[in-house]
Amino acid sequence: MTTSFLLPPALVLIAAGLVLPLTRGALRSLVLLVAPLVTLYFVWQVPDGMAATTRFLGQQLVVVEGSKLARLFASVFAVMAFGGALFALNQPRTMELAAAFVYAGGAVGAAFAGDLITLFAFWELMAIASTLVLWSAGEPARAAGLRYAAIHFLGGVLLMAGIAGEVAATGSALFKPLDTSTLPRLLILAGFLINAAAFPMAAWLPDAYPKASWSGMVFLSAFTTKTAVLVLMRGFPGTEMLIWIGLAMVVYGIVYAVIEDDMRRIIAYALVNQGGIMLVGIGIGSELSLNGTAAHAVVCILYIALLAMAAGSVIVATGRHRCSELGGLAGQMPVTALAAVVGAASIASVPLTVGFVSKSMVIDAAAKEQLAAGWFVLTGGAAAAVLHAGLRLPWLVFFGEGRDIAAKDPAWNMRAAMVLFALLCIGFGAMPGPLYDLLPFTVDYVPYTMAHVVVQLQLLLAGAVAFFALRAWLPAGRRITLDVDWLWRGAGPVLARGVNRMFDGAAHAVIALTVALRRMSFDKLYRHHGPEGVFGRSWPTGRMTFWTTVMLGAYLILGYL
Amino acid sequence: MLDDHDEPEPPKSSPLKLLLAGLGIVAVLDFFIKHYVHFGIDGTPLFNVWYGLVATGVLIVAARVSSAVLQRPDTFYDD
Repeated sequence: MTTSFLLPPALVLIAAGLVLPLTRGALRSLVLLVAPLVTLYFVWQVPDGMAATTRFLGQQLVVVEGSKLARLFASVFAVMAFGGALFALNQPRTMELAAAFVYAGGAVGAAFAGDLITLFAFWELMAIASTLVLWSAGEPARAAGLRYAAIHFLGGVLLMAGIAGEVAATGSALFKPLDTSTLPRLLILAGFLINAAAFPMAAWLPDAYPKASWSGMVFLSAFTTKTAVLVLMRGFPGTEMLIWIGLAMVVYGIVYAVIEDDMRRIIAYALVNQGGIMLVGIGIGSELSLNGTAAHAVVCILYIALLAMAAGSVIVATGRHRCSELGGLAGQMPVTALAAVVGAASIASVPLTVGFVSKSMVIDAAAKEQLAAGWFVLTGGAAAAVLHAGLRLPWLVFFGEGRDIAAKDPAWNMRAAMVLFALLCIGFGAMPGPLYDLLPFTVDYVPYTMAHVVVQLQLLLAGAVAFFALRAWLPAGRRITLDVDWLWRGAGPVLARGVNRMFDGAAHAVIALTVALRRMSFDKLYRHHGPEGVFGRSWPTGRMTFWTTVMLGAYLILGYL
Repeated sequence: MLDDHDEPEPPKSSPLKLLLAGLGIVAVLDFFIKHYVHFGIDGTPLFNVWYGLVATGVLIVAARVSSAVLQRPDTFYDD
């Protein structure tokens, strides 16, 4: 391997993850907090272009390829690993944290992958490690973890088939911008879209993530979908299909979130909704929309993690996860409530938060490209953000009717992680310059104009008025909403049982036919050649002698003739 | 399907009046800002106010209809 820098950044987190199970106490905390920061240092040591290459199966592999986009995503992955580790410092299940670090390392590796084979290796590492994070929650996550693994391995198979076809057709495994003109490229796109939780294959996300432990969802919410957004930006910018998939995700995420009762499922559907905005940005493919997508992906990691931390803190404090069983916690959990409010304001794109300076770039790009459907859906979605994590979630949990629940803010490290991410959400929101400097293209965009601020406040306040006016009309309580995964969770098993019954019937028919045929043919043979058959049974000596004499006599007669 | 279990959220304290006041203020400000019209209809007076109300209302109706068709008891899946 040839390298032009010290160490592939992904290896630091992966090595830390492998070492973690061997550590305890202060050493464990040290590894958890230092490894992400060391990774961040190495991320910024990677130069632009091919930085580490090797050969494998006759192909040139670019294990590390530096670019502004890769450094941006890898940086936020490292920051996320640090924030998640700080939040989960007192998580007793070390295996979850070890898997989370390998998972984060896989995301950093995928961000820097310069060829499709390296990308696939890190892609699958993420799938395995994230499944282990999920399973660390124990029995409640067992079935969801199996479904999660099955979906991601299906995505991996599609991706591998596509990569094999692409390498066979072009002779190169280098990761360049692709199109949708060939089957292998469509398979690669499908593999990417599954991890992006693209509609209609989005149900794995709200199925699995809320089953993770109180700290597990913080990690899970950050890496898989954003890595998929990154590779879609690199591989399929300007692919129109992504606009329509993204718009479907925007609407789907809101409609499902607004009737959901589980805190973390609301966040999960909000995550799908935000991913839809990113896919629209990639589909538009202009410099403004791609900058907006990159910025929105990065800040989405921060505020979704912040919301997941707040939800995790509520679960730790109360043992409850349903909004209908919570309410009025702001007084008892002020830091957590503040974190949830900042996260909610960010996802709703309230001015002075990160969502305001990122999402608007994608919406403006849709307007500039005269994409009417995209602009109207995204603008409507901006108003309706109040229906999910943007207002409904914090209102029901922290400010709605109190339920006399004894609770208090969580441990210092969990509060510190929430404060850190809240400060990042407000800091980059109020002063977006440093964020814009990290984007892949030169930014010529001014978010803070009087018109933009007023328009955004009009949309949000209108949405909030509609929500409070109509919310009594919305269902609540211990219900689930059927999703596309009903096909394999509900219809699938029924179909499998039906097919089983059908095959059981066919098998019985074949067995009966075989027995009948055996009776017809083999029984006849058995009758003549069996122990009692004329040719099989033992005969008396006299009868044998008689017949031998007859045959010899017949032979003599024939000899004379 | 909807049944007796689908009780609406219990009435709670609501900041609706406060929000309406805020919406009134930003609606007035609409007449003092420069509008960038891209699709014609977005140039109508107070577009973002009425469009925000309509879009959110439509999505709430869609969610309500979806809940009637797609919601089941939380024991529906046996896992």
